[in-house]
This record gives sequence, C-alpha cells and structure tokens, in this order.
Amino acid sequence: MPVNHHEIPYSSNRWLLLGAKNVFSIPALILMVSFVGFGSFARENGIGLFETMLMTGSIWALPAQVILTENIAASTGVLTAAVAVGLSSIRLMPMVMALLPEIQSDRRRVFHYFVVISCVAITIWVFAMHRIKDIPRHARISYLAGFAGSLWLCNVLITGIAHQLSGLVPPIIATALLFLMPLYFLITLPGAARGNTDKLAFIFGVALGPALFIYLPDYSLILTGLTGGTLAFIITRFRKIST
Amino acid sequence: MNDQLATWIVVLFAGAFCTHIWRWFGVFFAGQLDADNNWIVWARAVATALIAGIIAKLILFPSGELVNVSLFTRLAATGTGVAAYYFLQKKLLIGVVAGEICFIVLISLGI
Repeated sequence: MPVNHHEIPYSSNRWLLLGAKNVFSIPALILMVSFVGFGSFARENGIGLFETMLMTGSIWALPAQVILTENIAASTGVLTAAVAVGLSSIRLMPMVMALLPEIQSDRRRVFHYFVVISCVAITIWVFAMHRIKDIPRHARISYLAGFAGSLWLCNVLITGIAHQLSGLVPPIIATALLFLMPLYFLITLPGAARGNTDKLAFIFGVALGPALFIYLPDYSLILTGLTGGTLAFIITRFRKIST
Repeated sequence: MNDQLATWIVVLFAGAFCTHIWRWFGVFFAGQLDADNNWIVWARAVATALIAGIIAKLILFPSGELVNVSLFTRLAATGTGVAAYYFLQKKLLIGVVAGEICFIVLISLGI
C-alpha cells in the first residue's frame, strides 16, 4: 500500500472511530428521536418487537419504513406495499450517485464501501455532502463507515427499546413522539430537494396525498407519487425552468 | 407463526429489497448517468411527491393516538415548526423543538 506522507497517518480504524463519534451530533440525535417515534408508531400499528427492529435494520430509510408499516396495518398486500416502498426509495439512487465520486479512492475497503452504500439515507447523505470535504480522501470511506455503522446500530437498538417502552411514557409524550416523524420529514425533505421540479413535486404531493387518500386509500400513495411527480416533471420541462 | 413469517417476508422483500435495490442502482449508474438526466429527474420527482403525500397524510389523516389530537393542534404545531425552521437560521433542531413545544402546549391546554 503506497504511503503518502502529506496525509495524516491515522490508521483506518482510527478514522472509523473518529467517524463513529458523530453519533453524538445534533442531526444524529434528531434522527434517533425520530426512530423513537417510529418504534411507538410500529407498535401502535400492531407490528411486533422483532419485526420493528428488523425493519430499521434491514430497510434503514424512515419514510420507507413508515409506508411499509401503514401498508402492513391496512393489509394492502405485498405487491402494493412493494411498489409504494420502491417508489419512495427511488430518491436513494441519485443520492448514491452524487455521493460515490466524493468517497472513492484507490484504497479498497470493500466492507466499508458496503456499509456506507447500504446506509445511505437522508441524515448520512446530508452529513456526508457537507462534511466529507474536510476529511482526506483516502480516509473518507472509513470515516463515513464509522458514522453510518454506529448510527445504524444505535437506531436498531433504539427502535426496539422505544417499541417496548412506548406504553410506559406519559401519553402526552408518546403522542408528541408520534408527531415528531411527520414534522422531521416535512423539515428535512425539502432541504434535500434540488431545483424546481422537486419543489413542485413536493407541493403536488402534499396536495394530492390526502385528496387521493379520501377516494382511493389503497393506492393513494403510489398514485400521488406518479401523478404529482410526473406533473411536476412535465410542467418544469415544458416551461424550461432549469432543474 | 405463519403470520410472523409472512411479516418477515414482507419486511425483507417489500421493505428491504425494494429500498436497497435503488442504492445498488446508484452504484451501478454512478459516473454513467448525469444527475440531470431526464429519467433521474423524473424518478426523483415521483419519490418526492410520494413522500410529501405520506407526510400530509400522517398529519391530516393520522392513525392511532394522533387521531385524538385536534386537527387544529396538528396544523398549528406543523406551521410553527416549519416557520421556526425557515425564520430562525434554518436549523433542524429549532424547527423540530418549536413544533413539538407548540404541540405539547396546545394539548395541555386541551385545544
């Protein structure tokens, strides 16, 4: 392995640890509280402890988890759930595409890449796009893997604990925690929107979501996404507003 | 037991697989497709509209305990949180805390 003396000679384990320290940051804290909210949300919808932790551990995308929980609770069927979750998670693709060039280096730590890519979701993505430039390139993947891995582990545990304790906290706090998730989404997601197409899609989604839910509860989410997104796309393309 | 197994399959297929596949597509397409490619812009718009839809649904037509909270409280707390975020330095923490405080205060007042 070539040694570059201009770079700080930390070992990759050291970078992993430095990255992991970021679980004690404000964005990580807010995400954790949101997962507390998800734990009680899942319990309210009749999802068991193990399944709730499995959701956080295997899906690791809060909107997808909320959509899946609602679909399981409403017994809409595997296919409807799969399409709704799949459509909501498309946004992860451009996020990974934007992140990858920032973290690639010739040092191959396949497992670290695997951890980072598997854990890409809004909190880690926003963190990475803002902060990764201050980390030497060769260390970026380890640094981010440390953060992503520890954040994942913490939240799998937190979801389980919240699921078990949700009956014990005062009702007003429990309700406030349930309210936290939509509030968190509403504030963070427009921040990840890029350009007018996304902004317009967001507005259409807010309007269409409840309207379609009244008439077509089972397919309202999928229709909201396809209709709202396509309309926003056509309008901005047609008017040649740059995206 | 069968029910439980069915839920695991739903979680792993409809949940995990349908989410992870986009992360791996991202790896596959990185460096090949431009982020301004029409398909990518459209896909992002669809995902954005869908998530915006679920947010609005969670606030306007919630399930469970939130049903017992008045629509006024839900909307007022949402508005307070969003306004606090945009007017006070765009800090996520400020927005979330302001919205939650408004929520708890209104409930305590029985509104």
